[in-house]
Amino acid sequence: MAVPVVKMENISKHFGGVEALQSVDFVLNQSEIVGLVGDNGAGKSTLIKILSGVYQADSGTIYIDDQKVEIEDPHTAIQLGIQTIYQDLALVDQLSVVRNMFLGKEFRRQGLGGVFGLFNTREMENKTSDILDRLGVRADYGFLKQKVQKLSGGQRQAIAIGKTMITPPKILILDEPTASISVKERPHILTLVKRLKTQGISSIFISHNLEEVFQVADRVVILSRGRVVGDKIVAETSNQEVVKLIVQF
Amino acid sequence: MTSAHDEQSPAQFSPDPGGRSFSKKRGVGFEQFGLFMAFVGVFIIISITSRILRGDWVFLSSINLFNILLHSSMTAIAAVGCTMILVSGNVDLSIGRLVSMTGIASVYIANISNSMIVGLIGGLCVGALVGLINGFIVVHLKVNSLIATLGMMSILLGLVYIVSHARSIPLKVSAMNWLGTGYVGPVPFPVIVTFGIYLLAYYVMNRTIFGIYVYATGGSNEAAIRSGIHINKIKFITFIVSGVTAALAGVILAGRLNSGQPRSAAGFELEVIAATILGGTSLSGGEGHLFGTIIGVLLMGVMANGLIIMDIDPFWQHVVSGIILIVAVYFDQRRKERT
Repeated sequence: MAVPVVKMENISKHFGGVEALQSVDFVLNQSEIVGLVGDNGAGKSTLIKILSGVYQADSGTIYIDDQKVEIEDPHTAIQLGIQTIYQDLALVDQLSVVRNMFLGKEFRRQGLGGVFGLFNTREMENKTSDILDRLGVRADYGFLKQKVQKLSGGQRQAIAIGKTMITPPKILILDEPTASISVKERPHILTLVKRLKTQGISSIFISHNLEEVFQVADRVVILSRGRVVGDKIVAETSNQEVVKLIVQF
Repeated sequence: MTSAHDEQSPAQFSPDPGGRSFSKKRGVGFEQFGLFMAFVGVFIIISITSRILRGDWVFLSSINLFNILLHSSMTAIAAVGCTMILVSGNVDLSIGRLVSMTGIASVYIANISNSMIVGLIGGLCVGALVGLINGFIVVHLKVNSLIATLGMMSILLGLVYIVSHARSIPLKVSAMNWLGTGYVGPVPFPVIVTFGIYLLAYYVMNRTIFGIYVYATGGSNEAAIRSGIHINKIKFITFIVSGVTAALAGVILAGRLNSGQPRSAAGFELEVIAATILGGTSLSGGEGHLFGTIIGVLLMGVMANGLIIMDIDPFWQHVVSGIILIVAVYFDQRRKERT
């Protein structure tokens, strides 16, 4: 039986006179990948920004693991186990893979070194290697030391995802994860997203590319003009039906 | 645990999609090696040229080499703070005037207290205070650091002349004079201080969490904030460090000159910033290395010394500094475009 990890009920949000979301209900179950689709201005970004604490809903209720929560800011969202990877990835180009992975969460050395703010390079490298291995990224020593600016779009996306795995999230929101990477690397990212599911992570996959959504998602939620106009099990629907729902409202 | 290697269709990314083999030696290390080789080249050229023009090897004499190190030590010390602040994405133009100000302040305080230690601490506190004010203006009042520190440069220039009545203030504490002119064995004391400062700063920038945060703040404010880094705190600290290192240079200079002089350190900020950028620190933040900075400082020191030894008008040194600054920024921008 499906166990909901996120339940958003009657979520509404206005920006001035524009109704970005109108009484939206959204559910994400344990170890499920939900594709969130819709045209530009459908309300996808607004909905995930409410869940990740960037915006606050005007009305409605959010439950995480059946507990009612107030997500006041991104920090609260992270504490609740919600991690978001935005399109721009938020990586520091000039820093190495390891330093990006641990940015803000560095392992301190034991004893006096830790008091003086020294970090534990070896432990961070081992952990990075371990996480990237789980994500299917072959990471030798040279790769770990590599500056992020020298990596391909797919590798950067993998690092951004890996970064969220330092403290594994319960809920991962991926905003257009394949938008800025080459066509050749896209299948790798999709495989990587599917692998997260096997590790018990529930994901929201936002994309304009329905083909990709159908490859990774278990369920697809369709938004149009701030309302949910469809909620379909991927195995029981088709690309055409989803497109029809997107455009008919 | 699921391994990438035992799955049917793992998401494989090779370490390098282009098939090149990256090693630890690539990147910053490679650039620093290039700069080091440039330094060696300039050193050899000046050695040979001065030999031809003068007929002796005075450039390579130990007295002259220590003189280069001594002359470069103040620039080198201030360049530590300059490197940190540029890496954090800001700039501090008040360094030169702060050197004059702290030189005068430390002489005043030392003379009044008759103590070198009190004079030294007083000078450093003035530097830290100015750094704190610069940090406040940039971080809290959101004034661009170029403008904020340009304004501070003018304020300090005025204050220096007001406080000193535009006259030199003789130093009456001989121990403080030793700070700038003393030797430990054959090595000038300021050179030892410089070495110690670089060791400490290298460790801070490359081995501590704070160092990572300085690079992250300059590299991407947004990424740093989203990672939970208090970038304002980091910026504040870098301004204070810049103030303190400039102050230390000021105290040593006052010791060398045996006085606090309002006209000392004119154009010093240009020299420090040029050497730092020449050393590979990026004007746009996030990149820089203290090894590069010290090589940049020494390169400029060797060139300045070479001009003097070859009997070329020493004012050409300013021309050379300006050209180096422009060329270094040009190459920095070209490098950015490539990446």
